[in-house]
Amino acid sequence: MLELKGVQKTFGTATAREVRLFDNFNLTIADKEFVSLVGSNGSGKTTLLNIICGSLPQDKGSVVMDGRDISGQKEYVRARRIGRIHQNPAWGTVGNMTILENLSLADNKQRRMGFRQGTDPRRVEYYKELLRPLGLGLENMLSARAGSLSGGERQALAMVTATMTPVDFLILDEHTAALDPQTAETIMTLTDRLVREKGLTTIMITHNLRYALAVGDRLIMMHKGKIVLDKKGEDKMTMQPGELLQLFGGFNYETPRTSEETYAAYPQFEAAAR
Amino acid sequence: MNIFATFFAALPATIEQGLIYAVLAMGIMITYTILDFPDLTVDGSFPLGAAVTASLMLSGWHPIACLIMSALAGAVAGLATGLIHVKLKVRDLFSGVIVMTGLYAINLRIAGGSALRTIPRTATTIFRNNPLADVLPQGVSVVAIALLIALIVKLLLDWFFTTRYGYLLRAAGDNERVVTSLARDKGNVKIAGLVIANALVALSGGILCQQQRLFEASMGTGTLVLGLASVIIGVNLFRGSNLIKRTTQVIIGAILYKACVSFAIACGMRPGDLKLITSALFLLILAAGQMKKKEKQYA
Ligand SMILES: Nc1ncnc2c1ncn2[C@@H]1O[C@H](COP(=O)(O)OP(=O)(O)O)[C@@H](O)[C@H]1O
Ligand SMILES: [Mg+2]
Repeated sequence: MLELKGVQKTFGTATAREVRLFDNFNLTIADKEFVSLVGSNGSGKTTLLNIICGSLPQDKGSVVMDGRDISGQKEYVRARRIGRIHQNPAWGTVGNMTILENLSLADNKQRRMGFRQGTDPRRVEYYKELLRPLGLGLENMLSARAGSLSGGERQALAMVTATMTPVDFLILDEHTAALDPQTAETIMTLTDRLVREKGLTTIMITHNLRYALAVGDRLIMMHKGKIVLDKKGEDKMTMQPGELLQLFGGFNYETPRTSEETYAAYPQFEAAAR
Repeated sequence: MNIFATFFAALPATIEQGLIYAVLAMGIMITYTILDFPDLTVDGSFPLGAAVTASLMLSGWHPIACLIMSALAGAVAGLATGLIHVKLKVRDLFSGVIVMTGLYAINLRIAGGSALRTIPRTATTIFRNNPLADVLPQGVSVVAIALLIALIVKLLLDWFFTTRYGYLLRAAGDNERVVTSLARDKGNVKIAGLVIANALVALSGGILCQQQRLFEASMGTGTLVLGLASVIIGVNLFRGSNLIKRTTQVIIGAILYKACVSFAIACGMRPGDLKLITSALFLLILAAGQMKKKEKQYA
């Protein structure tokens, strides 16, 4: 279980551009829950993930993982249990190392990083087994540099390396946004499969409202650092993309509208948000 | 033709020096091309290696033991820079400058307070007055021993980069995020890189001290530039070639750099003018480095 309790985060404190993004922000995510997170640019989605992963400290409040407050834990320590994929496919793997070296590196995550050989030849078949289901032919190009792969191939490789050793949480920040529609589809299918197979507790940011509805078992919409929509189960399944789009537009583009007015316009969402 | 005659007469010495400086260049390869860290510590750790070797030799230590101590001293210097940068969050260039400046004083101390220490001709060094040097034909013995050392260092480094920790170091230079995602502290990996690099640089200083039988307090000036020039020459010469290892490229680069300097001297360039050439070269390298960064950004 992952909980954020009373999180407060202000950027540019005591400057002219002070932004109070989170004020008493609370969120609880159950084990093996797959949350898709939507919201306009600047609504605080990435910051939320940064606080969970420890890339950014919160000003107040705590991040609690399985009942234990991990607010003081460094990012690299939290990474033992968290796999993270970014929007930029280049961030997840080492461009100057080969596919095989990248897989070996990830495989060594739980081992001692001593002076044994970086690549274990006995593991190569296993790596190929991991790559084969992707259907991208990566298993036949183990000696290609990761930097020479296309965005989609590289993101797929990053998905494999991030989930290769057991992790409990998967954090995805617009991980298909830099890919063409076809490739995005492939990666999304892979994501869904990996999450189910491994039973990962997942938060996925996406700007694709169709994916947000189709994938995952809980949907959260954020606006200006607040959760304005939170649906799961039946409620989520019956939701139509059009409704979601309307709400999204109400919050973001009809500028004179406050969230109250938007909810007044869409009373069916009011209960879920509160 | 006088120029060429002079150049060729100096060629054996040029190659010797190139091979000795190659050890230093391989160290700088780690910080600059792998970690992307402009490490000015080397201007202090190179003479540090020479100071340690000179003073230990003069107290009768075995030449190889002297070199080991030099490398260890260099490792400590690298550790200092790494800790200053990572733990105190001082910028990379300044961390190096701080340690380099401190080392100037420390080197003088190690050398017994004098800016110049010489080792007698009769002393046993790795190059002279030892069983290996005695069996090798006169004239090639120094080159052969310098080559042997450069090769040993090269093979050790090549091996290191295929180990688990070697992978981690390569990852740290290319994409720090991956190191974090592997649940490792990227700061520690950076420190380890600086330790290894400065050990090599100081080792190179110790070797040069044995070859020239000399420690001089100002011998470190321009070490970083010299090493960078070697690395950049070597790497660019073999750009796109996967057959020749980085370490080999850097060794060849160091020899070519020394050949360029030797040629300039043969042309009648005064040592004072050489510094101007060096600074122009540094500018070129930095400008080229900026372009490299831009390329990366748009890649
Ligand atoms: N490091 C930072 N420094 C200053 N402001 C920041 C920083 N990171 C995010 N912000 C601000 O916080 C807000 C939310 O940003 P972010 O979490 O990236 O939004 P999202 O991912 O939803 O698009 C934005 O207004 C942004 O300007
Ligand atoms: Mg974002």
